[in-house]
Amino acid sequence: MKSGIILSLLFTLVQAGEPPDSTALYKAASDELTRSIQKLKIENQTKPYYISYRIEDTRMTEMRAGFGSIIFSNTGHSRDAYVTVRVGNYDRDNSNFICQTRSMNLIDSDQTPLPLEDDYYAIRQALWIVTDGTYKKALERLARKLATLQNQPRHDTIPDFARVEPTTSFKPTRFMDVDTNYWQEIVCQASALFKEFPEIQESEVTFKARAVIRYFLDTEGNQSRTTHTLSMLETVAKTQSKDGDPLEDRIGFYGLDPGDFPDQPAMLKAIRAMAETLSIQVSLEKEEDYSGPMLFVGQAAAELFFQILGKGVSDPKTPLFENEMLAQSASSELGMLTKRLGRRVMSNFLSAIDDPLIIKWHGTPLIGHYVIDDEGVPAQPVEVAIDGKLLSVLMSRTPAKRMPMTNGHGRHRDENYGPRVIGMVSNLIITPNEQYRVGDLGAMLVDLCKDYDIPYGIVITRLESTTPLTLKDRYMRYFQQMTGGGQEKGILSKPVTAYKVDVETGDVALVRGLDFADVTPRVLRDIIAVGNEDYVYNFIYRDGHGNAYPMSVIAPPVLVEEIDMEGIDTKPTKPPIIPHPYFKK
Amino acid sequence: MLGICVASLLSGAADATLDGMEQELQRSVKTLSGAQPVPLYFLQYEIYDEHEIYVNASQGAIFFDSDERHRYLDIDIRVGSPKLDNTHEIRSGPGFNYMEWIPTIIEVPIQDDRNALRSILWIETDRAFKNAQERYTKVLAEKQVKVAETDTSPDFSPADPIDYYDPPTVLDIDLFPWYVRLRSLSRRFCDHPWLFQSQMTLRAEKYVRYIVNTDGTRIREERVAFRLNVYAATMAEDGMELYLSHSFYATDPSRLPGDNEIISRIDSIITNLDALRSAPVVEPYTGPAILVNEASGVFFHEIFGHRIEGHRQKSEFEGQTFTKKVGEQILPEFISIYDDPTMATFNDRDCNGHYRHDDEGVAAQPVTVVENGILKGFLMNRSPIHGFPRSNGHGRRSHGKPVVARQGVLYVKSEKEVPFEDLRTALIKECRMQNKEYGLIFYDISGGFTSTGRSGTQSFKVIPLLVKRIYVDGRPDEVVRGVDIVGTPLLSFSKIQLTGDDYDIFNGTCGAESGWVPVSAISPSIFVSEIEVEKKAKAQDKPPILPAPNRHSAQRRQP
Repeated sequence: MKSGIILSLLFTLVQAGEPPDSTALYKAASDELTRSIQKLKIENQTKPYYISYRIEDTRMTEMRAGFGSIIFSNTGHSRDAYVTVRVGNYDRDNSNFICQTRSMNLIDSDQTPLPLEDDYYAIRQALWIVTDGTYKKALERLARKLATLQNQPRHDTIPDFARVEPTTSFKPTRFMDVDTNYWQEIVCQASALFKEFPEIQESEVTFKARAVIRYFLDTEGNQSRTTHTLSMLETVAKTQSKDGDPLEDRIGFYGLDPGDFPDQPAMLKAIRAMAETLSIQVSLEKEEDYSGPMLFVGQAAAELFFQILGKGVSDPKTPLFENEMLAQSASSELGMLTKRLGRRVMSNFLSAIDDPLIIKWHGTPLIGHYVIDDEGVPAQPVEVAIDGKLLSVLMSRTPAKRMPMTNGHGRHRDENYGPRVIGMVSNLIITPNEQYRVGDLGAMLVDLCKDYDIPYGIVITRLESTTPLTLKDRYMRYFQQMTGGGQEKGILSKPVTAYKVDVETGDVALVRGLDFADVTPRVLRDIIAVGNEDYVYNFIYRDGHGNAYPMSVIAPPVLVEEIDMEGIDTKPTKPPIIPHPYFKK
Repeated sequence: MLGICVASLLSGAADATLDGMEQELQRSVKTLSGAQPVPLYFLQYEIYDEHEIYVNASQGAIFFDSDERHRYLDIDIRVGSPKLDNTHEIRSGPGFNYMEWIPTIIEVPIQDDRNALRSILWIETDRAFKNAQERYTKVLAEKQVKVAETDTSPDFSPADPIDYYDPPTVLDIDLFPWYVRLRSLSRRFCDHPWLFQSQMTLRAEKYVRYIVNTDGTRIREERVAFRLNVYAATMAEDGMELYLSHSFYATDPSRLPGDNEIISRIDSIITNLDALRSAPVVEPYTGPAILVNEASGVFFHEIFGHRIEGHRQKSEFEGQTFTKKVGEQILPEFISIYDDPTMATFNDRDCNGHYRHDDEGVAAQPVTVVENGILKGFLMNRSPIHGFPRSNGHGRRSHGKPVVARQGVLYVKSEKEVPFEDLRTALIKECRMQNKEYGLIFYDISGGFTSTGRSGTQSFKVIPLLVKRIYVDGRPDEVVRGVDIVGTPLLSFSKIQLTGDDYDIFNGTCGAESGWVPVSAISPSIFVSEIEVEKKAKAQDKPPILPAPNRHSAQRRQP
């Protein structure tokens, strides 16, 4: 904990005296920004009061392998500009408003590709057109927003955009050196492991490494250049139980650089362990239900805190919707705790911070790290909760009730009706002020079970994490958008790996097929004890809009007094008619 | 049970991909052809190996470049019998079935690894087979409760086994000179700051299709394509978006045109867009017109070609414009129409719609669709229709979609050819007769929409990009804008009076329910005594507010 804060301080101090960017890319963006704020105006219409350009120059290597063989491998370079134009004023502008606008125009808005080459005029040309399109869209949105507000006698008076002190920060650029051949070999080797697991029907290993040099500049004088790197090696395996339920598990390794991964034998060992656990589940009977105490360990504890506390304190501002239908189609899984500011959201021996500035936690790199957020604001540590009480939520420059300022947590989010910048988790760290040895937690679980007179307790080690949208998901989303349908999901994802601990013998056995019934945010207040071994969980949060955010959560194992579980609701299918061609020799 | 013939094939070439496909095919058939309650009677694997190199430049700078390779798998599985199988049209239900509309994208390794490939073939075959059985049950249930269909043809036609092997080649292109060239060519637009978008794009593609099926067919067919595209866009003062483009297509980069020809095309696009942005907007008009060769090719492709696709004659949802008209005069007697995918070149230009075998493992065949104005036949895939029991090799798709009948190289041939100038004379004469102040010449058409479905109106709309008014009183020709051609097909065809002798080929890509497929359309210019145009819908945005930050204007400012 302490090391984190010290690192944060170091980072905020190293800012003065950095030379600004001298590339044609930056100069072109700067000149077009200046020209636009000075001259962009339609007669009889309001001119922009704020414009920003966020430019991302991305180099990416990506590859996938299945059963020991490369499926896809690619290296690419792209450049994109994300443009914000605000008309009106800080109190009331075109933002925080959801409406449908036409999208079939030749002139882009919000976002555009830029040339890969540093050609000053070609870059300005692209920025000129997208700024023009974004300004016109902003005018239309402001007009429609004001019209909508006219018909709503009661609406909040919270400003739309928070002021900040301008920041200048030009960090040295970094590149990532990725040996494509080496990683092709690794993904092939990792995916070939599944040749040892006849129970597993499908598997795939993906490697991705990217380095994004990001430029941010706006008309308030914020200007920065930062490098954001990320590498990941993800494995997915799928099969089905003997009685036909689909089974799936994933394991991921993440780092700011591929060098951050565990060494190769350790990664292969972890993938093999995942495959082994999944294989055992194939022949397990499905559990019917459970009510009682539950121990969340490792990834499961981290997911529990992320899914309830982390998501709960993100995106605190609900935008205004032009009509009822839009409001209904936009149910968000974020922000459910933001109305509880000042109230207890966790047990009183738990505190939490979110600090994007921490790079490493006891030697493990944290991928949620950044120094400047998506609105060009320096990242800040946030005391989210102290002694269980919610002190602060994660803020972008969009003010919310009782939270007028940004705290450097703004992240760009593409949504159905245009982009927003929302407050979001970066490095969420749970800090307990009383901890038990993990073995003692197990004993407490058993004791509780005895009190409740139930034969076994449940230990969960993995909860389902978010996965990239498949093509089918994207089509389904599109159809749901058209038809207004959507499915309600619980606030906690289903367990992937769970064990039962026999109260009498202490035996531990894998179980399958349990899901949470009616979990509410209250579950964090039902935590009765936590362990003394932190789990550092690096992961990618993938939302339902197709956005992906690298994040880190550091959490201890937790014992929850009581949770209800029921048999999972699945659509079983018959097992394959023909045996797997490789294993049927 | 039907005899399933999986011949032991001797194509002479040991190909790890084909071999892996065939081994898994045989293994699957052995079990699934005896599966209950309804056995498999046909199985095909098609692997679509695509290698695409893409470079795009604008304003003198490279914007995108990519070099990607993917291999996609399609499984066609049929249970029941050719008379009635799982692919049979279902007429009830919620109307539009979302799930059937979502493409099934399955990727397989790009490396030749039999074990990895077969593990995917295995699980996906299992999935496809179970879906097929489930759908077959629905087909049977519907048969019980619905009235008989008009066309009682079987669901699947037999085809001869094919053994064909294109030896592997490498997509060979030196990109460096292309970077230099694309930068230089794209810079040509910089002198015209009112063009707010302009692009030069090179796309080099190699597609290899591997097909193995239970007819005993084993195909490896390559297709290499190089396409150079010029595109520019602007906006008229009233907000109308205007764009023009041109594609050069060849099967070898050395057959693409030289700089002079490309520059002249760029310049003509610039000149025409410049004329268009200040051109008057045409009011709705009905009267004589000429469709210039390439535009005419697109016109025939859209409003005629899609209506002679075989499956549309069978579906109970289709308008069936021509279904009952075989043997009848549907076009003027001087017009014949063929679709011949085996045609690789026309007037020494490569045909984008050329292929040797379709996606159902059937050899492509030339089809006489109309002879001297009389309807003779349809483009057929393996879904038979009344009077046309066999495929003629027109079953096509892009990966992930089910096959339907599609066009390949559509060829409009005329017996009444005159020089273009005579068409113009005829146009003016006709205008005088109809008491019209002017006629229209359509030089460029971007494509269009044709509603062949029964529930909508049986009309079409095509989107002209470049149209000129030809005045009867000798005033100079005038570029006009803002019109779409609309009409109903049968009436429109009856108005064709005369054609030019200036055959030209349109090479493009056509999108329909079975995805995007490369096509060609060859046609002379045609003169029609009556065409109808209506006002185009237009964007309401103003043109860009600030002037372009153009290098040309910056240079001009310098002393």
